[in-house]
Amino acid sequence: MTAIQTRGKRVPPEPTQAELVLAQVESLPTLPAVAVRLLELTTDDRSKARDIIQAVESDLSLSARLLALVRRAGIGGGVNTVDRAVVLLGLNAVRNLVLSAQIFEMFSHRKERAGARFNRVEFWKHSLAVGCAAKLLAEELAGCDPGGSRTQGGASATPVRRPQPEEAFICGLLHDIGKAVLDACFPRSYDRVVTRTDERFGCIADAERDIFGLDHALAGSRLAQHWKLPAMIAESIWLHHGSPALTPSRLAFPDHVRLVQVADRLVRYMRIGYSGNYTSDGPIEQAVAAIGLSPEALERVQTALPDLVEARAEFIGLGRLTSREVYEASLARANAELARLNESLADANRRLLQRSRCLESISALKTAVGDDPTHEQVSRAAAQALLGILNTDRVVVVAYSRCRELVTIAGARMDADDDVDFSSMPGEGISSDDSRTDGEDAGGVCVHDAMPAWDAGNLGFVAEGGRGWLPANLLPSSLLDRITAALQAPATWCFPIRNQHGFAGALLVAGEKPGDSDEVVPVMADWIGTWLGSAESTLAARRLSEELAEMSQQLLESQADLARARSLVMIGDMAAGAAHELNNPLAVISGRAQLLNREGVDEEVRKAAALIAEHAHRASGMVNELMEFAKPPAPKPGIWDLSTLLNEVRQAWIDKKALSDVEFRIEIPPGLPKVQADHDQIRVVFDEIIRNAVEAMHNSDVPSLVINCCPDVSDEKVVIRIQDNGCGMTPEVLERAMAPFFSHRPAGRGRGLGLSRAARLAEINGGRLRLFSRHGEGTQAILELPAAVGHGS
Amino acid sequence: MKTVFTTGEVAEICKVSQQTVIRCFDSGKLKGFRVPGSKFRRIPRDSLLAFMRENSIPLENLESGKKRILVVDDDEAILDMLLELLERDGRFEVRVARGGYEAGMMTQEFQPDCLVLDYKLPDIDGNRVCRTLRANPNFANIRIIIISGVADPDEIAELRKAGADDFMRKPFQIDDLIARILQLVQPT
Repeated sequence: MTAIQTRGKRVPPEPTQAELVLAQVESLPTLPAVAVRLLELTTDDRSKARDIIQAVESDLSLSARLLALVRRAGIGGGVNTVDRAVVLLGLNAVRNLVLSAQIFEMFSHRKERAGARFNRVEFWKHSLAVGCAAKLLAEELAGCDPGGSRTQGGASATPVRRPQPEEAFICGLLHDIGKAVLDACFPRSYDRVVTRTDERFGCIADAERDIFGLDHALAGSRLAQHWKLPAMIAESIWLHHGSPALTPSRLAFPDHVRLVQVADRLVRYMRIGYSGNYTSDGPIEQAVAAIGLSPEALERVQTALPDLVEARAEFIGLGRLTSREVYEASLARANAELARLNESLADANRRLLQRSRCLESISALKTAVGDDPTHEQVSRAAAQALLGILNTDRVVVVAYSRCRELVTIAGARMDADDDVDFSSMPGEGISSDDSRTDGEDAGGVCVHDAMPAWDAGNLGFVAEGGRGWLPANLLPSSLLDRITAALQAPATWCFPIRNQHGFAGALLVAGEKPGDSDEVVPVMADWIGTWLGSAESTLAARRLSEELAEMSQQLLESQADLARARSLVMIGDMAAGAAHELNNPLAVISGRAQLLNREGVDEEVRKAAALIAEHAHRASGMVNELMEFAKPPAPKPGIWDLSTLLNEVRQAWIDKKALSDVEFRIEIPPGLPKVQADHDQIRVVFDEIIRNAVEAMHNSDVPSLVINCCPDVSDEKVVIRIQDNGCGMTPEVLERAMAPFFSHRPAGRGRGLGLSRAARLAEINGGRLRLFSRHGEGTQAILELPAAVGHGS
Repeated sequence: MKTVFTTGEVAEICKVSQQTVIRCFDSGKLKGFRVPGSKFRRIPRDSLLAFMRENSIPLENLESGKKRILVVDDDEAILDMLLELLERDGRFEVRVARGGYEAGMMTQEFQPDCLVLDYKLPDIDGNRVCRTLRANPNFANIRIIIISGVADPDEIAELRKAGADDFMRKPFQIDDLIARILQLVQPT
């Protein structure tokens, strides 16, 4: 990313903040007089060597250092005057050298703060190395391109010209001046920038933008404007982060900028000094090739660089710095960086490992829990999974079901051999795995216990407590006792599990607080909570559907009962109305017929009148019977002996010659309870059943009617079976046998109220009449009557 | 039926002299009134009846000898039939009423021996009729037979409590009805 792009894209978070910083930059002291004078000379082509020489000579220490530089460079062994040095080095070179030394002094003479993170010496070393590298690269470029190797000042007429080595040097030297500026203006904030960059192995410019709202490239270029530094320097400062290939050519000095960019990369690659940029920019060969240099040229530059740094260090006032020292420092730095990187990687690795273990555990947990989990399954699987995550040999997972009002306690324990140890789990534990017998399973898990929620005590505080490990003794003591039993050690720490329903459970451990897995446990707790919530929802849904099914069954039954009751009420009302309305005319018919039927009237008429009267009474009887069926008189229950009644009934039917003594049998076991019901109504019930049976046996050769009585298993009822061997009923007939006015005999043969009346009377006496029949095989009527409790016969 | 008697008529019915009747009237033993604008004495039927009962005078000369039956029913056909069959029997003097209110009026005027009462009347129910009659000492001797097309045992029990003497279901046997009426009005 080029600096332009960076500036374009990254809008400073607080413009006012950036502006404040820039204002501070502009408040820095101006350049020393010598530097100002030298700068004026550069802009004026008519400048004379004399002026420069005078300017330099006015600063004694500067003069001494310039002469030393010339001597070191080995270009003039006997040089001892500034005059001579200027001739040897060329005017521009001297000017640039002096300028750099002056600027360096501006910053390096500030007092070093104790504990400062920004190492100025290393910073200048980096800057110096970049300057030297830029100079060497410029020389290489000049070497391969004779057109650009001219060193005369008149070349400035061309808009774009090859950078001269000394120009490249000063551009490189000052490219990072913005850092020095920011450090000078905001030392503490800049320490933060450095700390953050070093921690993250990032780019210092990013940290600067985060903290100041602008980076050192911008701050530096603003300083360049402030100091009116030459454009080539300003551009190099501004754009030194860009890549050579992407640097726009319409700049005044694009080649200078590119040289500095490449030099910066090269120095960072060689790790000379402190650059604050840990990011990699791709192979250095590529960058060098982008400005048209060969790998061999790169190699020459790399070789020559330490010596040049050594030579120039002294000049700019950085003190003596041998090329060997440069190398060693560079190596040491690279090593330290590697070590730090390694440490950080190891740390990241450890964290990743933990997360992957967590993920694996969650995945395993998901598999174990299944799609339709129960609280037991979730707590069991969670205990097992946590055993693998927490650095502990025993874990308990408590799951609370609001719906069941039950607390499930599942424990997992690992013995010293990492083998399953189920025997150590007390209580009526249910083993979780069928595979436990093969001994391959790593954790011993069982649902230790379940206790009613109201016994567990008040769990509300756990629901409200903070997130993270809490002291276990906050739990209600009754619950804690059970947990301690499951752990076989006093529970010390507890991690609450919550979900949409609120408190869902807790993880518990014994011993020290598990700190190492702090990152993982909340995630696990959330997942466990989610599954417990799902279990709760499933349970609630099932409860609801069960209740619904039961209610709809009840509703159906009560609807049927209601329909029957309503139809009976309607029949009753109808019958009552009909009885009144019909009996009046019937009374008139009957009365008039009786009046007709008197002495002296024709015999035919008398006979007809008698018939009319008889049938009027019969019609009235039917109406009355229907009314009695619909609105039977309330039973007057008494306690009486069943065998007495049955024998009376039997005798009555034998007397009527309907059945013989042999054909009608009664079986009553000793000790049969007495019956509690309306005696007369039950007698009607028997009569109706027997009448039906007798009619069914009409065509039987050997009729047989057996009444068998026995107490019900519950002793609350007496069950009477009345079995005949008559013609029986087809299923259709059986189904309607007890409906009022139904008769399968030819019309007019019976009123059809018999069995329905019997059933009705049995019902109002707290009993029940059912019929079982097969066509051709006879019918069995089963009559249940309430037994008189405590009244055995 | 004659409702107001002269002292001469009373003397003949009670088989005493007219003077005795006048003395009793004047002393207040026989309740009655004087014809407005004259001194003629007149005795209402119920005062005479009360007087005769108090003095144990046989009532046969006052009455026709037939038992008076009031039949109460809202059904015209029933009324006609009962009227015919009871009158044909010859032992009864029969009147009819078509509702509870009319029955009250007729009871007052006709002084029946027995009411044949339909339980379900359009204006007043049988219970009310029974209770009203029983609350009046003048009607204490009237017997009541309920006849009804509906025969709920509980309702019958209720009617008997209210003062009904017997119950018969419609339709009925004529002979049975007559037998029961006679049984009630001729205590043996």
